[in-house]
Amino acid sequence: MSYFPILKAPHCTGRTTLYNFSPNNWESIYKGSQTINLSYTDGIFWHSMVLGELEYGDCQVIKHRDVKSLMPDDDTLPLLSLTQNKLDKISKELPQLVSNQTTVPEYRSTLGLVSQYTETSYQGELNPFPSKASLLTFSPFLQFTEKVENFVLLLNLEKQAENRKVKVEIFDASTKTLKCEKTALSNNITVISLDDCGFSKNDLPVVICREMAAIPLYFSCANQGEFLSLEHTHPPASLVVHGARFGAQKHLKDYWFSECKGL
Amino acid sequence: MKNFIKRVGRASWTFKQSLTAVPKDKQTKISDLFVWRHNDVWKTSFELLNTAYLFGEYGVFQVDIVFFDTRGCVFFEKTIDLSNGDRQTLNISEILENNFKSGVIGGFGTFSVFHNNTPEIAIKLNSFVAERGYVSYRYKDSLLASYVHGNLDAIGKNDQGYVSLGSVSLLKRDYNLQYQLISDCEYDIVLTNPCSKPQKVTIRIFSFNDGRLIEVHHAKINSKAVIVHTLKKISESCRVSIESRMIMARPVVFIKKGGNMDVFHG
Repeated sequence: MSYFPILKAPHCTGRTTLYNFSPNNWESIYKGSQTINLSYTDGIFWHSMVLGELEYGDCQVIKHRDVKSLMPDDDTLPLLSLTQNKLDKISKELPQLVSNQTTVPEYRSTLGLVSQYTETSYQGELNPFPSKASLLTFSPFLQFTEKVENFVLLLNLEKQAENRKVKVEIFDASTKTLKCEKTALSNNITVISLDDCGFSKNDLPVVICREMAAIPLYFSCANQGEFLSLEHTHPPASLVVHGARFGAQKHLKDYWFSECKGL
Repeated sequence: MKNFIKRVGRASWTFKQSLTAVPKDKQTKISDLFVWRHNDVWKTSFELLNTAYLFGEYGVFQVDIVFFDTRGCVFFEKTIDLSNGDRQTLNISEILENNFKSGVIGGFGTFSVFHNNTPEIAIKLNSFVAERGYVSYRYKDSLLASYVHGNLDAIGKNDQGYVSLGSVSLLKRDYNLQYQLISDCEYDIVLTNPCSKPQKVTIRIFSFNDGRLIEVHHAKINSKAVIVHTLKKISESCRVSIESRMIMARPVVFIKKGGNMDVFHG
């Protein structure tokens, strides 16, 4: 039951492409037209509406400007979905989606950012995180050429409609010192500049959020959008494979959360 | 009975067909098969993280980096010391440039990065240390590099040498890339082979307008090798489907438009 957000970032607008066909030929999926929905939270309730239908085998590009007037403000995260069921117009919890799901590979959409010059994207989806989860990410993506801006975009979705405000701490991996402290919102995409944290090119930033999980997207932009770069980091469990690998993730979080002291 | 038939049907796709095989040797170190590109317009770098340090271990740790050519043959190996907690960007193009004439090695291939140390906690958890890290590509005179993460625990290294960890499917599988190719861009569809034997692949391009088959390309990829299939003149909105016996023939896709380039994983 994945949602597909429309991203936002400086100098860019978001554009998401939805696909109504299976990414493989061996996991069975529903092969019929599906409803395109838009969902968002106003901080109290989830609101959902139908945007249209997508025929089987087809794709649909939805830009931020297509949905802008349907939401309360520009800071609200637009969430698209492709479903066989009708979503409640208003709900306290994130609507349950009856939608196609596969595992090898996962069912995805193209989440893009478009500037006046170029565009960048990754293949992604967004599933709700538990509210009592956390984030640990090591980022080697900062670029230091002239006229380059670097950001981390924290993408979160939870079942409850609330927009929780949480602390994000950014440390240097070598010295484990706090370089800067920011805030992020749940059920939103939070844009955090990494250029004012004092990192140099040999530093490895560690981004920690003890109260909320998120997909960390690293976005760099040169000459106000002439060149763009976007990629997410792996969850820490990906440093190992097989066995009880999520035990490794717990170990990493316990270790870095205790080593890195905030204010 | 219906469920039984369903289960048997599913087993033909799943029985002994894991995405990444579990190495028999517990000392095996695992890496993705990353793609390097190096010529007049392409430059490649790799972001090296000290995994042992990230797990809270201190000491002198190293990685072995191995380069494979377009046939999947090893042509260069190098051991690199890791720094503790610093960012270490390996200039792959510079390594290749300093050791080879680009005419000898061609413009692309694969490489893998093996951490020499398995953290204690990973051993306790019966896990293997894996490198699925981040490659960056610079195209022409771009001010920015574009990053893409590794996605497959493809190859292992132990005392016996390099072991391919990709399984082969009993039946041919389609990987339908959920991506819309458009007419004003050029695309490089890049596929690696994590299996121990050469694999045949068929790349098909279908129109989004009417589902028509626009183009078919057949190729064979040697073990640990890579192919780059370029789509130059796309006349309409279309999609890519890849047929093979690999469990997940997930491509890396490079999109080129003028001096700009973007890269993503399928």
